Amino acid sequence: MSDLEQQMAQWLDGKLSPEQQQQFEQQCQSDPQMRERLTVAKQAQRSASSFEPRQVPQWNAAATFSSSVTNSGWFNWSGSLSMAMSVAAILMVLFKVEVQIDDGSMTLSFAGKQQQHNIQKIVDEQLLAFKQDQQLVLASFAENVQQQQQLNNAQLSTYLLSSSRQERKEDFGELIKFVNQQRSDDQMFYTRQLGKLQEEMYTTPVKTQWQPAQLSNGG
Amino acid sequence: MFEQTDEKLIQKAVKGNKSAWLKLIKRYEKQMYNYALRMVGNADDALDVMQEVFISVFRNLASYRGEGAFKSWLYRIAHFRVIEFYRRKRPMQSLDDTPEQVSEPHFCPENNLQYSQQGQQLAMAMQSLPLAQKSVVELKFFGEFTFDEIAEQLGISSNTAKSRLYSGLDKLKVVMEMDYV
Repeated sequence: MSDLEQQMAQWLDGKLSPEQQQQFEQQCQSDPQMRERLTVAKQAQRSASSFEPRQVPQWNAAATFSSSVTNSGWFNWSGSLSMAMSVAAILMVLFKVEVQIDDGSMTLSFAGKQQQHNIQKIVDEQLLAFKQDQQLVLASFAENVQQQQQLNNAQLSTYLLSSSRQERKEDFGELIKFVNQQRSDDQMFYTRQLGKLQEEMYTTPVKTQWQPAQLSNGG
Repeated sequence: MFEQTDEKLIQKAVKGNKSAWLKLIKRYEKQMYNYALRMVGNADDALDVMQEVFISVFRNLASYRGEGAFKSWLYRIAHFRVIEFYRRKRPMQSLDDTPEQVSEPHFCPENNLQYSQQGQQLAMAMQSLPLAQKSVVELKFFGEFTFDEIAEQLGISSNTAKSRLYSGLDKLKVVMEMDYV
């Protein structure tokens, strides 16, 4: 709110001295909006001061009077009762009073103890049920693991047996192949020896009596 | 002769003195009726509002502590009753935005003639204002309350009361110029 508006509020409240009022009106001349507001305000003041109030039509003023509202004993009593009930209600809310009716018995508890007890009971029941469920699940899991382990062991032993058998078979195959190869080599060796001996027998005439010792030394 | 103070009459009325209560009504009924007339713009509605104001005042008389002038307390209650009046008329519309037009169809020729007179110019122009601005204009120019008193009566800040008055003056300028032409 501008300074001029604050001054105008003071002027409207009649708090400006004649000098301040004159100064304020001069300042308003430089501000078109405030000048117009001042003009309208003055016009409104004139109009309000010259307002001629209308006479009140006939009406039943006495009907607004009601003895029940005045300071009678009943009023005080009802007021006090209302106050007491309100205080009691507030205290019941503040102290968390709980009334529980169960199987014909009524339980009154404070500070939400009954509610806490009920909550604790429900939590315990839920925990117990959860525990039992967990035990069942755990037992089932252990059994599954055991079965799986047995199956794995059986598969592993089957695999080991079959692979061992295969390896032995391959080893024997290799050995037989080696022995056969060796035999073939020996056969070729003796064939060549015999061929060589035959060639020597045909090319070299026998001059001397055959001597087995010489043959064995030359071979 | 001696004239009893408002507080004295209130004390007696609270104790069940009907005569004191009627004296209190007599003292303020003209102000309240004309206040209601300017606020609702219709004589019949104004009478109803005035009656509701005095019924409310009497019901709450025992709780009046004498803090502040009785007149201010009376106007505060009257303001609430006027708000209730408009809420009943237009329950779904904000009272701060649009002018209250509900009373215009009820203007009778007598009223229009009266409003057209020099002294009624402001009262007639006020009818074009929204209730929030009309209340401040009414309390400032007819009730001659200070901004602090107006703020207290309407439950708003003093600066809000000033802003509403200035906005009201800006609108009144247009309306009053049109009336003048």
